Amino acid sequence: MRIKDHPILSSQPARTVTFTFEGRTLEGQEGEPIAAALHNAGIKVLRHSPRLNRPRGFFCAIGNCSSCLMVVNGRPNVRVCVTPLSQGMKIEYQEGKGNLDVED
Amino acid sequence: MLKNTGVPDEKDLASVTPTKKRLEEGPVVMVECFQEIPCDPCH
Amino acid sequence: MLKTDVAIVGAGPAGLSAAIKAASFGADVIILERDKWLGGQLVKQTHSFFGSKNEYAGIRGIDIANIFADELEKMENVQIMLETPALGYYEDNILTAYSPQGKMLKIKPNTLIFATGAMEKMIPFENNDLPGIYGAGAVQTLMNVYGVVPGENVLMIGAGNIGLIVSYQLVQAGVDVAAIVEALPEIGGYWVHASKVRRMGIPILTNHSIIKALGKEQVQGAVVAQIDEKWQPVKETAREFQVDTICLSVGLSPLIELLWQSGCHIVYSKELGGYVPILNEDLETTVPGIYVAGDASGIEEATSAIIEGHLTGCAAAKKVGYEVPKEEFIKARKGLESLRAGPVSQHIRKGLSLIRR
Repeated sequence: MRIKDHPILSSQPARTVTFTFEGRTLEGQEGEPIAAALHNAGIKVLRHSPRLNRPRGFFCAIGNCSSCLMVVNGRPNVRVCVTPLSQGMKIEYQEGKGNLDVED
Repeated sequence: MLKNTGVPDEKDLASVTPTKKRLEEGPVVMVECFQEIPCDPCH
Repeated sequence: MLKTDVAIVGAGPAGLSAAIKAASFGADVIILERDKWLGGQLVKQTHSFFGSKNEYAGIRGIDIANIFADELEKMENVQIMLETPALGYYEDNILTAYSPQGKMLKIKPNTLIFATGAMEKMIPFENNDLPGIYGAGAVQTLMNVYGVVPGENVLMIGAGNIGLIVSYQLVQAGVDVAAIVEALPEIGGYWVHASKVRRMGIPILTNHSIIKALGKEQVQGAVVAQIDEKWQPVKETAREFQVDTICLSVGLSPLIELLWQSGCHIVYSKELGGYVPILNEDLETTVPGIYVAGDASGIEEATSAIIEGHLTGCAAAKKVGYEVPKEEFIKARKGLESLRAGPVSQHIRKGLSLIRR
């Protein structure tokens, strides 16, 4: 949910872009972190831990903790708390440690 | 106690209240500064 | 390869004030910052700062970041590289970094100032990994930088300054704060902040701790209980809070990975928040020419980070051969001393006395 009225901060209007999350089309603001856009859409589970399959969410917001690794445009292990959102992005859950699309 | 609850009690208030003698002399400014913190703008 | 008199890693209050100082004596400066903006954590500080009038007391953190940025813009001998994380510092005095274009950069600095800041600590409790549990800094970033709230109702863990201030900021953003839970018998933050949140009706529960988070895929509540002097839950005091967010403000640890990697002597200091570098009175590490300013040298707050920035900026410029008046050093050292003089800084004085060489 976005803040509407704030006693100190004023929000600068940003361009609305569309992106997909697990096939669902969602809207966000261009340039905000992917995690902020997902959060605003009510999506708090960003991945599941590789070993115990525990849900993981947004934790540090500064790219330190690796709680928010997702697959963005086919690339795994993207820290969505510090990666800016852009038009048409494809965001997906990551399986385990993630796989790069490389030839064996 | 302020340091346990965030609410000043009588003892806390007594620590910043001017002396009885000073109160009897007339109106006085009472500064509710309960704690010495690294802060100097009002010095 | 880029060459410079002074390379600074981190563009928070310490790094920026170091850059301004070093450049003011003529030194060429390169600032490396992994984020997209200058100011580090200042950009999420919507509250007015305490501290000394000389270091922007009474001004909001967000505005202090702009003051620094404006000043740096006027300086021709400062090069700012945003979205450029520093990666390592090697024996041949090469600092490597990663450019926004995805290229490796090599920088050869004569002196180096690490102003890398800190990261949040975690505490153990059942389900502490559930989505909906955030570091207090993360909540500030989400809310004050990106304008998105973390949830509808929050349980705050920790009544230090960050816990108290972020609780206030949550209310400003329209979020309910159910309570502030503090394991210690006394409030750790400034009482003036505590009174401010109490006046808004937020209870502060000292001698209490979170026992577990409730929920399966994300937080749906929390169990809190009173704890005894051995930090064990007191029977029949457990109670449940219906919250969708748990915010942890249980302290910070210095970010010193690059210092370890550079070969600086590091020791553990309970008082200063974790592993910290051994420093001399110029804040120089055991590796000559490497300096540390701000939270990376021990957890304090932004005002001391700014003054430590000044001190390292002076020291680095002098090391390279620029003329720096003695008074500049004296002023910075005195500033730090007076900031740390009071009863609330007792642990800082103790910590520093154990690690300064």
